[in-house]
Amino acid sequence: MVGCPSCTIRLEPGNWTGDRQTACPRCGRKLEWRVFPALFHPPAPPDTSTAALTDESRCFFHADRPAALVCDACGRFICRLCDVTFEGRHLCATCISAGMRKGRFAHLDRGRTRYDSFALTLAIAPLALWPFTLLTAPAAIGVVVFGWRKPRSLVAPNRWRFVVAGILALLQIAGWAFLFAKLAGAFGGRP
Amino acid sequence: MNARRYRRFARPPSVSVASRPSLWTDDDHLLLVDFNGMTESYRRVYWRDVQALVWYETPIRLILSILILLFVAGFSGLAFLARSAPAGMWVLLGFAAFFGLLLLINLARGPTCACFVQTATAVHRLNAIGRVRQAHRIEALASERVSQQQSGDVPPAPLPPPAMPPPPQADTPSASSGVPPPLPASIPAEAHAVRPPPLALDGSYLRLHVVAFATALASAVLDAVIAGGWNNLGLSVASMLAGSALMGLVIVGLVRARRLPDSTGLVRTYWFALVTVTAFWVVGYAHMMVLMITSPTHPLGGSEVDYLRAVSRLHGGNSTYMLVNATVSAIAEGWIGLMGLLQLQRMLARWRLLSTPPEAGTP
Repeated sequence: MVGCPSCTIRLEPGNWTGDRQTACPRCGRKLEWRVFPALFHPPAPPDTSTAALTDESRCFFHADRPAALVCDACGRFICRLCDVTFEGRHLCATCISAGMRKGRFAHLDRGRTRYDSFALTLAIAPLALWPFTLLTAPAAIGVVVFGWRKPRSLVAPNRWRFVVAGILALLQIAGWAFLFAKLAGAFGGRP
Repeated sequence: MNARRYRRFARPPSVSVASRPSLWTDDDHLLLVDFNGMTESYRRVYWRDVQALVWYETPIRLILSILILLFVAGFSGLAFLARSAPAGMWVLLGFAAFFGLLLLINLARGPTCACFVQTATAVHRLNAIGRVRQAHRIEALASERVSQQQSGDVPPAPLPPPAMPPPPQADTPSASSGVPPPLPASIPAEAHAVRPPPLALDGSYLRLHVVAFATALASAVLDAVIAGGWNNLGLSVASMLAGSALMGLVIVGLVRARRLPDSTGLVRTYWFALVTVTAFWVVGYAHMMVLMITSPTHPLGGSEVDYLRAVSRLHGGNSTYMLVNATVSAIAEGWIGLMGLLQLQRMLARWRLLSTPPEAGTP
């Protein structure tokens, strides 16, 4: 059933079959909606009813269940319950877990650190209070070096922010070096 | 590793404070991205799992328009007052024009909405979809992709009634044939209203709402006293503190009230309070600016502390401005307090009614 997202009430079928606009009977929100066939065909639960015969191959993880497939990654026999169809392959839960740990499945990533944005912020934001750039410019270089080979964003995978942050940070460091050289020339050495 | 190339569907909306949500599409799924400045978090919604898209209009466009209009009016007024100094006038007019442009853009982008996608296991809010126009675009895209991914299922329209058919009646011809009759398209909403489950008051932050509206009433009393001519420094400071507390409580209360069921009236009262209190702040700020611009003593001419003291005295003394401000504030805050408490009382009465089990024999 379709739910009203405002008050979480479940709307009865009469509310969302027919016209594509309706008012929630509880909170009065004017809802617009579009329903799709998946609403009427929820995914079927895996078959868990069969038991293994004595001479059958057994599931690696469930000794009392017959093997139905072979894991495409590790080759273990797995039952229907353990089968995870993912990116066109049949995998067991252990391989999925290991793949997630090693970052093999970009499709399962739940989040990534944006070192490029962090480096760019470190290179630009402190310019408003420029004396801080003495600390933040080397830090920005450090973040660029540290994050260069780290997994990048799924939606903005290029490295231009790293490049810009690195150039800006190097310019700031060069500016500080120039300033220190001038100061050393003004106060040091000559009697 | 980044073999997939996502296509951006929606940029972060104009009103996004804590994070910058965006929406990306791929052939088989939607990617919901939340970027907080340091990390991105991803949620994927596969087209094959999408059961429904639901959206409703929100009043954000109206509120934004009112707020921007206040800025336009404020800067225009200041420019008018500063007409003797052309440079300052043009700068202020530039600000007014900038906010006017923002206002036009806000109006041209169409109504705002909250959009949700429902799957078998969860309902995800598409935070990046902030306008109804975008919701229609995502609907069109979803129709196209879903028709590919969910092909083999029944076509989306016209929709057959799912489970829970109406009880067969003896006088309908379909009862004898065993086929449930189709639902008529125009069933009154009340006929299908589900009795909401009993609601506990835990988690409703009832005390917070009571404190917020009591603060509004207290602030109204203070302003009424000031409007009555008993203005002094202590009362002015107390009124200012009460106004600040009210602002904070209104913001927190609005966030909490939006999560409550049956809270439309309460939420509307909070929105009114937010807009009103913000308007008072903007007007007060503009008045201070006007005084600083038109004050005969130039700030650079003497001690800045003395100058600010003089302006504050003009701003907070028994001037016509203060009288009008205090009177209007007292009326508005009193109305907010009374309406809020009334809404709370109504909501509680409804909750109690719903929590009471129906007596035997009643339908």
